Amino acid sequence: MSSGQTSRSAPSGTAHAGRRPGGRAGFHTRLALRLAAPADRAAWAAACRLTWSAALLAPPVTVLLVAPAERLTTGTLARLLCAALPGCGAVVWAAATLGDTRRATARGLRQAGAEAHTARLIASVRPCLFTAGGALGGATLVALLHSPAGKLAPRRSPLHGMFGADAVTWLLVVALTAALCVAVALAADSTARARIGRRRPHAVVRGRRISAARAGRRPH
Amino acid sequence: MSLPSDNPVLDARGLVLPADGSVLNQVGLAVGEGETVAVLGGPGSGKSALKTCLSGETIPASGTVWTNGKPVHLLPPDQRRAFRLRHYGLVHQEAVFLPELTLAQNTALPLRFAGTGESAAARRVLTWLSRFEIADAADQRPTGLPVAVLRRAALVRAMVNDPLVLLADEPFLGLDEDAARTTFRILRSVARSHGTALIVFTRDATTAASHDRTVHLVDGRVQSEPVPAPPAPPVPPAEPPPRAAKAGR
Repeated sequence: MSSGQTSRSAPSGTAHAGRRPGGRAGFHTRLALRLAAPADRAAWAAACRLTWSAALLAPPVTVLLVAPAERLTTGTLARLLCAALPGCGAVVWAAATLGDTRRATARGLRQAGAEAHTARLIASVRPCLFTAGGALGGATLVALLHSPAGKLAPRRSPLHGMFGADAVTWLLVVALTAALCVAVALAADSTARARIGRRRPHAVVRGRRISAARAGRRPH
Repeated sequence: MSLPSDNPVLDARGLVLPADGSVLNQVGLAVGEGETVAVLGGPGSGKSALKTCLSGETIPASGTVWTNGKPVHLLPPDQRRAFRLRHYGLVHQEAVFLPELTLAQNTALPLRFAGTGESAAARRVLTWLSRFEIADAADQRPTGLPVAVLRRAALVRAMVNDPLVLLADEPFLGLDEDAARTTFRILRSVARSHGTALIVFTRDATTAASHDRTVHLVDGRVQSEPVPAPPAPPVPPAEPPPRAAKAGR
């Protein structure tokens, strides 16, 4: 058994010169923001689709969150959920599309030596930012326009009850809407991945499958 | 062909994976400083499993992996990961680069993740890119670059941290013969000058032949002798020329 270590001096200019242990968090943040900006037109289009989808989903979610509980009858709730369906579907589809890019980014980062969870976090910044942007836009639009829209809406509409909400409640609701939309986007991506089953099997599992196939038996 | 050195940088013995040995069965491999070894095997021969065992990503059911005098198989997961990042260079068959960054920034990422400052990492990467003769592409995005450049960039990314062991999975895949030969020549020269043990996992016998030593992996076992070529299929008897051709003469 080998016990002797290969001695390696670290002359100036080697990999370990100029290390700044404290700068890693800053580097991770800068890298995440850098990777959040899409590189080409197709990537921009995919990211913008997610933004528009989130903007479509946000208004019914905002109304649902800010409306007083006594106005949320079963019928109103059903109508709001129906109104959220197109946006939800669009977010799921756009997030699943963007998921391929997210996984490729995470893979590239892992190959470059990033820890698995760091790579996942950095790669998730783009879908999170673009979803949150769209959701914030949609929710802010409701916050700004709820007064004139409420006047046009029927008296029993939940929009009428939103006049009493103060600024802090509106801020909280807008933030919560954005968080919910981001959660939907990330969950949709994960669910789509599990459904499609694109995960690369582990080397051992792959080897077992090939061995089993050769031996003409089912893999255990 | 040369024998492994007495004091190998990487010494793996009796690797079994999983416990029934269906993927790896008593595989051993020792590689010395600056030595280049090819692990030759077809699909399902256990190359990928051996690679993950040697790099410490997978712990074998039995057997030992010593790298630079450290028992990799006994290290706790966190230490094993840190050890792998510090002492191993990994070249993946499907190297993925980030299209948002330039080639130089992509190849500098291992240094940046290890905590090296931006300017120091940029200087070092430029040296490495020059060494692999792709410095001209340093400021270009990886999208649209030729495969040969990307393959070399993957090697730069693996070597930039000055590893003790370089595990490369099909590093010359997709290259024509000349490009593969040139890339290998540079890689071998770099590995020798830096004392890096180079292990190339390949299914191509031509690629394997140019290394110091070749290890044949068949069904998870190391074969000491070269794998005999499969018998050629019986040649069917020559068919008589078609009648129409005869008639035409």
